Amino acid sequence: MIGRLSIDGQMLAVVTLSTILLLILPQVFEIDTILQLTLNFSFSILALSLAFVWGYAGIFSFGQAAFFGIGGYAYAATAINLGDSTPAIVAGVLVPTLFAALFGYFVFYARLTKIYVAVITLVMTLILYKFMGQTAKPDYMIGNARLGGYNGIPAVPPINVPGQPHLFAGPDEMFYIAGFSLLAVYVLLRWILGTRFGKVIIGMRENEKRMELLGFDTRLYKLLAFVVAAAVAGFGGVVFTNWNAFIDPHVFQLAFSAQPIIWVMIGGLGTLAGPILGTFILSTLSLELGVQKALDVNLLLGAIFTFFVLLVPQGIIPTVRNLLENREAAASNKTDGTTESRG
Amino acid sequence: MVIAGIQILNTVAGLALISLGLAIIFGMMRVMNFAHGELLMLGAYSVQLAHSSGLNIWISMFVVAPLFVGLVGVVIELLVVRRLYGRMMDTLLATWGLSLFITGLITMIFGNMTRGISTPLGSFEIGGIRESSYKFLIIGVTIVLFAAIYFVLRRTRVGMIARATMDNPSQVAALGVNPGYVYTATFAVGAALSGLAGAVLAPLTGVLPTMGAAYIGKAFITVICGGEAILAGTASAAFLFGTINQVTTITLNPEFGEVALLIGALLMLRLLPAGLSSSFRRKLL
Amino acid sequence: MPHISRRNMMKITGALATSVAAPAIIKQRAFAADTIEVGALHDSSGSHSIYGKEMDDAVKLAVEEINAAGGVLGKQINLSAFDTGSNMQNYAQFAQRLVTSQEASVVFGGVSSASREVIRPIFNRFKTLYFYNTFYEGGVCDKNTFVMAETPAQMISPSMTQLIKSKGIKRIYTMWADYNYGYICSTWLEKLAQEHGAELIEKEFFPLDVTDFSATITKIQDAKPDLVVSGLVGGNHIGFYRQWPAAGMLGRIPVHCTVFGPWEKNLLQASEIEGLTTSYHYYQPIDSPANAAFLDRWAKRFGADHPEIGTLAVCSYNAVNIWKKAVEAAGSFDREEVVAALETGIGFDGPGGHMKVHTETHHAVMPIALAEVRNGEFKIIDERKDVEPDDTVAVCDLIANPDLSTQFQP
Repeated sequence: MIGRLSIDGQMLAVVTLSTILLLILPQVFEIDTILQLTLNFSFSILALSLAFVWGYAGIFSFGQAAFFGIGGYAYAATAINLGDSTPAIVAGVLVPTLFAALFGYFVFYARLTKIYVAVITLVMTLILYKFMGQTAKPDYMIGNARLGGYNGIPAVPPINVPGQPHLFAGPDEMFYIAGFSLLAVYVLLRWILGTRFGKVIIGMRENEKRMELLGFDTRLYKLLAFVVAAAVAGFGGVVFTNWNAFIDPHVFQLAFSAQPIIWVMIGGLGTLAGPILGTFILSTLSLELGVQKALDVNLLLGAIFTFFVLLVPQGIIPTVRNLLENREAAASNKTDGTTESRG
Repeated sequence: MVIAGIQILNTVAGLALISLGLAIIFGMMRVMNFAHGELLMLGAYSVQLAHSSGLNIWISMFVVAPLFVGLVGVVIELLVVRRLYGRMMDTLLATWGLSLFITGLITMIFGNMTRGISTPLGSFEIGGIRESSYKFLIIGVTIVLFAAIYFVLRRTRVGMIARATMDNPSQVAALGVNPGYVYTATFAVGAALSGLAGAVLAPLTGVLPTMGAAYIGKAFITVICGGEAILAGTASAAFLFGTINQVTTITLNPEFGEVALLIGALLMLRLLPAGLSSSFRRKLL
Repeated sequence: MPHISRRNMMKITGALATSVAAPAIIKQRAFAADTIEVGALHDSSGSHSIYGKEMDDAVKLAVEEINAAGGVLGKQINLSAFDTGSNMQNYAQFAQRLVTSQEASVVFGGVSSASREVIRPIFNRFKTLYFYNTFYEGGVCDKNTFVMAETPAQMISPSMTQLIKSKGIKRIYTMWADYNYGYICSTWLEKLAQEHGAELIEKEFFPLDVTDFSATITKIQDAKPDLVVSGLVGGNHIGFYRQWPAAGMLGRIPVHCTVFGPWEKNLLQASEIEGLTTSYHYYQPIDSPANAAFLDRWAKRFGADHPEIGTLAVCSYNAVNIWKKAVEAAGSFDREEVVAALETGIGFDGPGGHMKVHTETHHAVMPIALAEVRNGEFKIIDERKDVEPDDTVAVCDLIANPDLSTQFQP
């Protein structure tokens, strides 16, 4: 299946198709479906950040949701203080990036093993949850924005036309902004993976020793991959905070940090489309279960997740792809190589 | 001062207690059990349910809880962990999926509300200050458990086989012991200890499906910062972090106690990535 | 901030925008003319369900009773009650659904203050009348929002005045949950204590996940206060009510709880909480014909073995009925006309006595009871009629400033 089109051709097809879909969907669906899709776009950006750092750089980070949350908080605090969303978006990406650089320095330059990185990023998330939860005291202010402890920051201003705070986005506009943001992040990550940097981190995932012997400073490359993923997650947090107009510490909670991991695992590790698919399937499932209440959401998510780790460790997209390729291979064997080579 | 000392000791003991089961499973089997918090939670539920259905509190706590959670451990080992030996990341992920599953299951059965057991044993008085006698029980149980495990691993045949299996399973197999049984038994013992810890702490904290999350952060960093040596590492890390936590709570306020503990752990790992016990001279258990 | 300006935004999104305008017409849903849409958002599951469940039930009961009696202005109420599962994201999601595709004309709900602050801006933006019916820290001042529940002034003032006077209390040790509610209530209590010649010797704040209170119990014994006031909240803080008797302190120093209803009481043994005092608008044991009749209907609807209910259920029940009376007074479902009718001070004789709208603040004037736990039951030891939400009255006047939409902090 892959390689039938050139990489550029594939990309062009994805972009065109997505654009058409994004333009058509709001005409077809009710407003609450549009709102739900917008939320899923922001979650998909979060999933992509983990897909990148875990699926390609091989770093299992429990902390992507934390960067997502930091991005959301940074956006909220800046937007409330300045009343304009443009610098707030920049802050929402920049603050988690810097935070990840500092934190990642401690982790990767200590050469901690994969398991330890997993646990330490988890601990970081727990610290943030604790810290943000105890900021209810009126002295915890960033300018005019009260951090508000467990209650979080309410009434966050939505994205507006740069310099014109009174022209701000409604639900339909947010749908387009979130949708095209997701598309842009997808294209950006695809592009990064095609560069030399991208090839180095994939090489590192396959065999860290080898890359080191080849003269690459793997500590630095890991840190860079970690930072890029944090920036992407932070941007997802900006879109998310826009969607619900508030941000609170639940984004640092274990249950929330769990979600991107499940999405990526189920959609397919080592792909970008898979995690987006996983996000849409599972967050829709969670919502519907929440409404119907026949089954506990955690129960089902846990069961699905364990099932995938044990029996479908590659996730949906790679498994389906393998099945198709095998069938094609079988077909081309039967016809004794008469079909053209698909390279 | 005496009271403060007892409280610090109590926090240290509590930390060591919640980490012990995890330390055994991680130290012996190199399995990072992300469902650890849920094993503690199941222990707490066992004692609460057994006691409220009329069973003696001590039997519920010291027999029912570890037995039941040990059995759960057997099931988890056979169904999940067994299939993933040697794949540390996958084990971590699979047990973490289990933790979600167990939380969901308990929520469905018992509802998302806090149940409780009243704290047994009454109180004592030192210098006009009253304090719960139950604190001594926690400290005592922790000391007894650590001593017992040291004894079993060092001085008994079972302990020798267990340690040998972890070092070299094929050799043990050649001696006629099925390493599979040893793995299952080790996991079950770790789980039973976690169940016991959850049960002992339940009267102080209350019992609720998501209570595991409150423990795992602390338990993980205690075990990881402890390093190679299961008992000495866990005990020393628990001592360090427990003291930091409780001193901060007493001198500043409870807001900062656990944050101080977590930040201390991060700094320590940067300085000693292999854990506290890596700085010990002799190789300890 | 101006309300949503889709039109302006459309100008700049150009070509895209034209395609946005069309569906607004297509999507318009035709509702049957003989029903009126009403929304409810409560945590019937999750960590807040011990509070949210009875609120949800109460709104359902009120709506069913109104429908059985012929509806409002001849229309049957179509209630969309969502379970928000103690998750803020669900609040945002369901609130948006209620105001857009559901086109609710009024929404009752929100359990925690956090959830209220998530949905209040949404209802303002989409011009949907909103009732919040949980006791809270006070100070919400919003033309579109009505709070039919207790503020600190109502929960704390009568009870503390009574306690301070009857027991000659001078020194008070206070402990609070570390969030908005705790900070505001502590400030209010401090002011009140000063007025009565008592002082707060300590204000200690606990994160919501703290379960071990032994350090504090020691501190309290060192300080030897005349009274301990607990503003602890939630499942983890319940630990205090177990550790306090375990340390042998029960009955040695009196404890007054600002958040302690049947929801907390039923999680504890009777022997652990004997003598605690608390104060709300309503307790199930209130002895009145109106309450007896109400409990009868409640038991018929939800089973005779229903859990003990508290002020949250009754405030929610009253709120629906007060809204109904306002719609009938206005003769219309139009939001502005209903708000104007509510501002005339419409009241309702509920199970806990007469509750009526306070015109300037959109809060409620109501009777307040002080209760003491005896043998695991609430025993009413004092009652006050027509208690006003003084804390909010001091800062909020929506008649003079109708454009306000804020929460004042003391």
